[in-house]
Amino acid sequence: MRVDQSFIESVGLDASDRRHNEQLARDVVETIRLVAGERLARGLSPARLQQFIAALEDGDDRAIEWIRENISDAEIQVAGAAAYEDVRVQVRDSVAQHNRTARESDGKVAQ
Amino acid sequence: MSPTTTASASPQRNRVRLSGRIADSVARVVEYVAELAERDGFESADGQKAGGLGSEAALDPCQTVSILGDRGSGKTYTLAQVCAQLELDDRYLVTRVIRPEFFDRGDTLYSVLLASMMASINEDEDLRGRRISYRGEERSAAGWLDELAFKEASGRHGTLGTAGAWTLDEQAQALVSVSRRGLGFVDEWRALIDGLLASTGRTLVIPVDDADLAPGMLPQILLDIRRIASTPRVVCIAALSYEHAQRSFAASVRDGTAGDVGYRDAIQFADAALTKSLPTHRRVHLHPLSDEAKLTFTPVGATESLEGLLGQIWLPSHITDEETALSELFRVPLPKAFGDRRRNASLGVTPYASALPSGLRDLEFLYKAIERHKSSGSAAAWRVALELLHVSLRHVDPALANELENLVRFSGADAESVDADFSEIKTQPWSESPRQVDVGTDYVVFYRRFHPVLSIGQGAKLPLELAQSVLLMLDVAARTLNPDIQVRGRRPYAGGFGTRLADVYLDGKVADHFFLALPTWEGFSDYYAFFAYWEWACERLAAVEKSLEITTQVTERVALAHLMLVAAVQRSELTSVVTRLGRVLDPDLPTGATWTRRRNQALDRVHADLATAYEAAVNSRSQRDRDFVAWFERYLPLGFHPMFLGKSGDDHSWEWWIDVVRRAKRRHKTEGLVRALETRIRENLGEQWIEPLLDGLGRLDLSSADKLRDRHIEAIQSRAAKRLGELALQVSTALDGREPGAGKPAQAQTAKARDELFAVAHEELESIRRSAAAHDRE
Repeated sequence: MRVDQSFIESVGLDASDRRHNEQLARDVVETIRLVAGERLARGLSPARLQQFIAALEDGDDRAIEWIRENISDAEIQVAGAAAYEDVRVQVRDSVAQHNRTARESDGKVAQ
Repeated sequence: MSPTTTASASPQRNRVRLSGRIADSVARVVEYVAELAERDGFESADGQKAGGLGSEAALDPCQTVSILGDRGSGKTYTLAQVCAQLELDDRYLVTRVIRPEFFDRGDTLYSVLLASMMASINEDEDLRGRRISYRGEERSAAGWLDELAFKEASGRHGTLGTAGAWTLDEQAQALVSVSRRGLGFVDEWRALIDGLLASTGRTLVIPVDDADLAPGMLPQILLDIRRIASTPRVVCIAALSYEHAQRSFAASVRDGTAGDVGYRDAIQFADAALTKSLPTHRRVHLHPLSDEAKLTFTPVGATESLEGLLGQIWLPSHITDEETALSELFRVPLPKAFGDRRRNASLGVTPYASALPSGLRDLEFLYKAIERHKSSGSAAAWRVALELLHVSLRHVDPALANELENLVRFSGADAESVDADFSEIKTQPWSESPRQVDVGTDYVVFYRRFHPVLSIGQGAKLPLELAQSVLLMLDVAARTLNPDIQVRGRRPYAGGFGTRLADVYLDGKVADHFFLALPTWEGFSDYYAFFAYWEWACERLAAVEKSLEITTQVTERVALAHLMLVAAVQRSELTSVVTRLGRVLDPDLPTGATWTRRRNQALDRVHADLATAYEAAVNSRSQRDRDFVAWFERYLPLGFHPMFLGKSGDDHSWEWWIDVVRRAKRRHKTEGLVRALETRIRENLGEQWIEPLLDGLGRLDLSSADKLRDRHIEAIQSRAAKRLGELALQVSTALDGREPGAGKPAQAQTAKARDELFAVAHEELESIRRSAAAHDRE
């Protein structure tokens, strides 16, 4: 899963400006992580989520260890891919909607 | 019979309203009387036919209702209220209250009752002319009463009056004669009552007050009560102290048998006699008034409770801009932050309430005195207020008075204006109350002499509102500082504050640590206040002790501990503040360093500087919003007490303080506080101070505490979810967003349009993140 110029173009944006691309990529990655994390967290029982919070307090290494022990690679892959696609589609739709609105507005002005 | 018996009740009299406990007792007595008035089973009106063996009257012939209670419990007052209510009811004829303690030698219950009835009948035209027949003889009611009184007097005195000169045979014959006369008397008494009342259907009510105060006559009085009250349409209400009556009766029994009867047997005999005369199922027991009952006391004919009356007396406006009623002296209002908007909602009564007179008569006297003075102007009302204050001081330990004296001296009052004589003010109108006489005699009243309104008599000086704070402070602090404190009377004071407030004495020894959660007349405090206080205190200490290094973390922890302890105090948690605070502070202090008395002296100078810092903070909205963590209505650190903020004319005067509080309250409503706290918690997730803060709020039972805790948990879970996603994707996938290269420019898209679309994308991503967090919360 890459968030590159192809991804940016796939959501309907002009990927010609590298600076814009980098900022958006960071934002997209952060969002995908949050959405994926939220999906995974919803799959955990409150007790297991509490275990993870406790592991987090012990440091990232302990948290990663906990993830390896408690969440399968397939689960993470599915959650990550779903999050990736969700975010991509939502951003794409939002951009498309904006384009439509802009065109309609331009048309009214031309008339 | 009272002349008011048949008079129509005035509207004012019908508005009899009593506070809960008294009203209940009066209602029960009236109810018993009504039951007795309506019962049947006695002999018929002609005195010939006996009631059935199983009838109520045959099983329970003595129609007595008793009001029992110790001295000052309100028996006489309750009896008076009962009589007042019965007099309003045409079904009853109520005689004047008979008080055996005022009997002359030779008086009996009968003779006094007959004399009372004669006087009343002579005043009543209808009754005076009423003809009554008995055994074929017809006479006027007055004539019968004369005859009865004569027989009663001759039966008891004419014959026995010279008994000492008689032989044993003559004495025996006289006793038989008296007995015969007694039986005849009872018959004639019944005939008289029948003649007077049968046609009207009314019931004669005979109130007897304090029968136990005539101990030598008690056996005869109880016997007379039984005889009188065993008559149809006659009910006797006896008010007495059961314990006194029991002891008096037992003593009479032992005297009469020259000590042959043991004390225990005599007590049993007394119990039996008392049970015959005062049936156990018609006894109303009075207990000491609760503080709440004292405040809600409403005299007969009044429409306002004592608390309501005090609420009409206002603090002179030149002391504070805010209107403050005297009633606030007696009740700790429920802080608005608690979310309870009910009128008069309160955390409870103040120590002053327990110092109000406990006797109903004294309470009524006090009520009337305040009412009288209230109409004559605020100055007079305030004199009464000060007398109230004095009463409260009379009820606390002498040690407290000494402590107050020290507090006043430490407050730096002008030496010239302070009267050195802390002598007792003796002329108190309610000093007749046995309880108040018993309670210490060496107390003082504090007020400011230079104050035009509060300036009366001699004594030390303490503004009323400050006295309130000090008393509350001592009450709360003493209990908090030492949970094992021995309660003396109703006051837990056992420690003692020394000559300087910076020193705390517990069991005569100076404590290592000093801390007070101080409730105020109008208080305000928050985390910032606590923190600022301890920051300054620690800086000062470090200045005194060069080797002492106290970090910000220490100060923060101490301030939080302070905050939590204040919350604990508000919930009346009896916890050792000294120990807990010491536990927080000690581990962080350099080895060997302790919070000593010498260091505490530095606190003296902290207060003024602190006030300046706090003023700046309060007036700076941005700083305040950043640091505003918690709001507690009733308590604040000692350092902010107006007592220590200098005197009038100073920038940090009491007036200044009130103004600060008022402005701060206006600025920070509870809802705003919760929002500010929520934001602060989110922004500082994981900070060590959050859990203690939430714990403190929870202890306060702040309505928003649970909500904040939920938000905190949600924030933690949301953060965990985000981290889970980050770490999980890092572990298992190749999500890569690093340095995406530049693609081909999109056709027909200007730079402006491109920028707009990227902004749309960022907004959408932000929206997705918010949505994910909200979803996680659900």
